[in-house]
Amino acid sequence: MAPWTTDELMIVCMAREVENGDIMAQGLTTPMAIIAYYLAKATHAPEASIMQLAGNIMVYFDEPPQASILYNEYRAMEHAVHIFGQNEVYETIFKRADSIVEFFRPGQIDKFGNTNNSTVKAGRTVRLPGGFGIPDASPLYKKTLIYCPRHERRVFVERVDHVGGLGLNLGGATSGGREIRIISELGVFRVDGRSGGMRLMSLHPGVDVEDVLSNTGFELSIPENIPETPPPTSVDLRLIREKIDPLNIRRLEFLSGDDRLEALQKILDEELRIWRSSNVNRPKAQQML
Amino acid sequence: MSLREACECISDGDVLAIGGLTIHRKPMSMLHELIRLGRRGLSLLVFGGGPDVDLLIASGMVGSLDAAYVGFEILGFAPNFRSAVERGEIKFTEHTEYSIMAGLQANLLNAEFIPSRLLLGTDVLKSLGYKTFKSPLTGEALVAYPRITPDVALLHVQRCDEYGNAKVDGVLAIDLLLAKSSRRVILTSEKIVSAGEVAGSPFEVNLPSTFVDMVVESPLGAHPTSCYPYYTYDLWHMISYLEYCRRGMVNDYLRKYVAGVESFESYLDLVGEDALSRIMI
Repeated sequence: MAPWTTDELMIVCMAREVENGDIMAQGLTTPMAIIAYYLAKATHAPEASIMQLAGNIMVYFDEPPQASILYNEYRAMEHAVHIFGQNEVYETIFKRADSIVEFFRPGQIDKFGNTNNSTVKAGRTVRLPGGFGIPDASPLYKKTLIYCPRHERRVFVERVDHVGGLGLNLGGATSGGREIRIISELGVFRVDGRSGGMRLMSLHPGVDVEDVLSNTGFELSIPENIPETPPPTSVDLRLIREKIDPLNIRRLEFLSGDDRLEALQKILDEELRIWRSSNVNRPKAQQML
Repeated sequence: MSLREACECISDGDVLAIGGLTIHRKPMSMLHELIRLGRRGLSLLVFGGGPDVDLLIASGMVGSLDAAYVGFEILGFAPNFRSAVERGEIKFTEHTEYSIMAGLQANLLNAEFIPSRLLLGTDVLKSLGYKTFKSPLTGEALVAYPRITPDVALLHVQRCDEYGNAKVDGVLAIDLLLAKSSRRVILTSEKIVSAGEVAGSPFEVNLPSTFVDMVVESPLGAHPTSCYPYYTYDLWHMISYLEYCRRGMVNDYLRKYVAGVESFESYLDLVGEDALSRIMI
């Protein structure tokens, strides 16, 4: 089997944050999160439940479904046990915050774990799509989970330009004893009440600590002996590549511009081709029509 | 009732809530008709906006926008939303999921505001400008989330009867909450069935007619967004829309597909059978 790639290692790190019995929640447009949840459920967390598509669709399955762009909602509905209205999503969060796992992808993150998906000052002010539920939900969790496919200085900043998801230095509506974990393309990091800032927990194999320092816009706390992130197992890799994400949707999170568009169009065409060539009976849709 | 008749009850300056979520189940046929009617100075309230918000902004119909997210999900930024906000051409108030839901839920409790700790300490709260106060019970700081009451809510649903007893399926977002908290509610529906077909199956109805004012049948009315289980998102069409925008040609898109056609059926004809067959489930 081909050696693991960074996207696969990150997905495995993300899946490791899930404990059996957790509720795994997905926000908007975070394909790596859903792939990690499917992987966790197919390996060490079989009893975890999944709330997909902004938490709206709770799914159950024995065999992990295949991640999809074009049929994302349809596939989730094939495995749905309940559809939540968004207010019900929050009723679940308020009741179960301690056992919910939700991965957020910020436009910016700072030393204390504050995140920003709203506006970025890059010479001029750039308007991003918005934080949606991140400012509401992320401070309520015992463990706030962040993933950053691009570990760059413009993402890891001294101070975020706009505080959306609260970190640990500003007070506010955050729960006590909370910690923030960040999984990036270079390593695993942590912010907690004691450290006073972001700390490196492990470096991915082959990454030099200098790479991390030169791509981080603030002072990181670095332990004397830096652990190495354990690599994916062959079981992890087989599940990701053959079962959960054979279309390589995960790669989109690392691409931008024309490269990304081209990769996306290839995936859409491939999904359509497979859809049309399969003679699956789709009784529910036919019955509705 | 026709789309035109339903749209005529929307006035310039109304607070218009749009249902669905990002690229899911947006009432696009109704929005196209509104653009053709040329309504101006609308105040939009949108939970998660996408092509709906971007198209209305590009048409110059939006005075102000309250939203928690506007983007095309996997396809990226909403270009007209982005440039209108960056240039200050519309008044944009950034919300979160909770700030919109709390404001709407105040209607359900007949309350002036909802008190909560959420968003304390964030810049989102600062830009919302909501007041904080001390809890009379514990003395801790609380945010007063004021009641939000849209004039009209536009929702696209899968099925309803002629009275508006509807089944909303797939991603629900806050559509049921919008229906309960808006002054008037207009549904477009893939299919309108007779009341007799619904009677005896109350389990299938999750939006009762008590919250609905008008219904219009509009097959494929959410295109290019999805309407589970009939059709998925037309991402190819959205990619083409974004390409028009990238080249500064959004007005050509509007002329070709919206303002320059008679009806949503003519728009679907332009999109073409081949393109539509790609998205049918």
